[in-house]
Amino acid sequence: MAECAVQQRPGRKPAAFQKREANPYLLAWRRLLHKPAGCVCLYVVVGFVLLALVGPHLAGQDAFVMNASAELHGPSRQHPLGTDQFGRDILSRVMYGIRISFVVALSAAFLGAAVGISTGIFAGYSGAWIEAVIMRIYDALFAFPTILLAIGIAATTGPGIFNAALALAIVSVPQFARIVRGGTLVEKNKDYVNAAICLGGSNGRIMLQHILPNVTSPSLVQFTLFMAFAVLVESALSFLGLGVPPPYPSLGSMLAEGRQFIQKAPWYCAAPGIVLTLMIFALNTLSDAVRDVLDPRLLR
Amino acid sequence: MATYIARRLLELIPVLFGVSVVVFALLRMVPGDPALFIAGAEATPDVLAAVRRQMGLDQAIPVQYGLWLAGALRGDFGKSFVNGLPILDLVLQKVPATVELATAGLLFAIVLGFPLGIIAAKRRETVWDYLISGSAAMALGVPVYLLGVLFIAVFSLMLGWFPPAGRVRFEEGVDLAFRSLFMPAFCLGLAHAPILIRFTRNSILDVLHEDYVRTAIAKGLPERLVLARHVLRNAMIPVVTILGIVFGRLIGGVVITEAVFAWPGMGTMIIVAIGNRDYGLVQTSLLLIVVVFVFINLFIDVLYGWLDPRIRLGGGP
Repeated sequence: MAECAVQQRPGRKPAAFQKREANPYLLAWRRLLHKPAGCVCLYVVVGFVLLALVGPHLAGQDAFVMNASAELHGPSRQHPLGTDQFGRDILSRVMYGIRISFVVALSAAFLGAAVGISTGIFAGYSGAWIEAVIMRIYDALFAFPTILLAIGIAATTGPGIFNAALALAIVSVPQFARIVRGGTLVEKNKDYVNAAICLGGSNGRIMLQHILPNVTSPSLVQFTLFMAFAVLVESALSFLGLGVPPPYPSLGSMLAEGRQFIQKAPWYCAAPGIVLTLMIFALNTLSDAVRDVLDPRLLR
Repeated sequence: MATYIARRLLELIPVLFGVSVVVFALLRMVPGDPALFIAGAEATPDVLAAVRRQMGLDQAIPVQYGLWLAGALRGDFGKSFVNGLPILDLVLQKVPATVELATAGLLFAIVLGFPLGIIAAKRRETVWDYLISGSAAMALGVPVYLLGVLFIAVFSLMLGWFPPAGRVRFEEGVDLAFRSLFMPAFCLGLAHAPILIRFTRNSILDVLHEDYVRTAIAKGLPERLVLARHVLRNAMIPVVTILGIVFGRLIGGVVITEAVFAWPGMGTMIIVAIGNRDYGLVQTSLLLIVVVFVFINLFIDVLYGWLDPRIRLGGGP
């Protein structure tokens, strides 16, 4: 009966296209583009990524060149967002700061996700003492308030772009691992995994080819959520002098420097403050939208 | 209930052990030789060896950890590299200021978060809801230190209503103490209220769809009474758990807020100690904060179990 109904439907698409349409991620992507908030925030985030890539070149000024005759100048045609206490162009530095924020956040998220997802699947699939040991270590890391752990690690490793990313990655590992382990515990008892075991699939193959694709969607939500958190914490670390070291501009360190001149040069704090808030807001809202469109109840 | 608390306490043992290992590892991850740092670059090998022996650095790592843990359990965290004073005393001196700020910040977050969350839920999908939920989403993106910088610029430097930095103790004058506390605490509360607003709103909306609420409305109870007696009472149970998360973020926020407002608490001390490379002081402060945080989470879990018997009896979600 159902077959009949399908056959009668006019204008069926070619078989290859139908197969692609059935991909849940493609469906989720389409649903995301149909959500006004998700769609707008996606464009904003893409805009920031483009600015991070080409912005420092577009600004037309060098973010590092000091100019003693242009210290703390207000916005002008030459410096649309004014200059800082060393006469450096704030627009170029904000663009460069966006780039550093994304580099730190993305590398931390990728590193954290790689370690967290692989150990999470391994722990969940292995069970027994391996799971107990791995998850107890993560429980201990999880017991720390996240920002405080990042501050502790960054303090130990010292300031630096790589160190800031490393601190954030360590903080994120237990978050990814917990989510993936939970998913693995559910998936490993399902029929398709048993079938793969009966067919003689190795443990590595089962984890990588069968379980991993079925536990990634919650990690994707965590990934976007963590991006917002990473941008926020990187800026906080830099604000405290523990993140990106000078002369590299970070939105957080620009705010820390700018606050000393807040009465004399309010534009100094305004630009990085507004950009940072907009970036975190867009990433947060995007992660909400991604969570909605990847909800398994909606996918099926 | 006693069994539930005992079980939860037992579960804490591995977590606390793990936390101590992490804190110890952080101390040992510091690049360079701590003995060289203390003895100075010109120290002779003999002096370095003596310093290492004195600090226990010549022992195997597990032995070092054991000695450190034994000391920590006795309350002996060693002495500060910078001024030679016992670390625990230095930390305990700063605790009252931090507790004062964290409590006031949490109060502000609750006072702002709950009522606004309730209003947003009660008037869902109206201008009020969009205004409150939209502002909360936007405020979630504003870092606490940015709020601090803005507050100082507007309320201290422009209007002169509050002192821009520092703390006045309540013993030195209640009015001055309130004025010095208000801005950092409000800033902290404002930064953490959005999570409470969001969670309270969603929790109430979930409960509004329950059968018993429909029954209460159907039997003709006034809306206000249904909200107070049936909805709020049940909606607040999950909100209690979110308080734990808010408190965790708040502790991180306190460290940053203290640095912005030069509030003389543990946060400022940690930042200064990092600058001085006084790692013992940093790690001890971290350890104490995490232990307190773990026990507060335990308290919230127990409270949750008390409010919702399904949790402590293991039959609930």
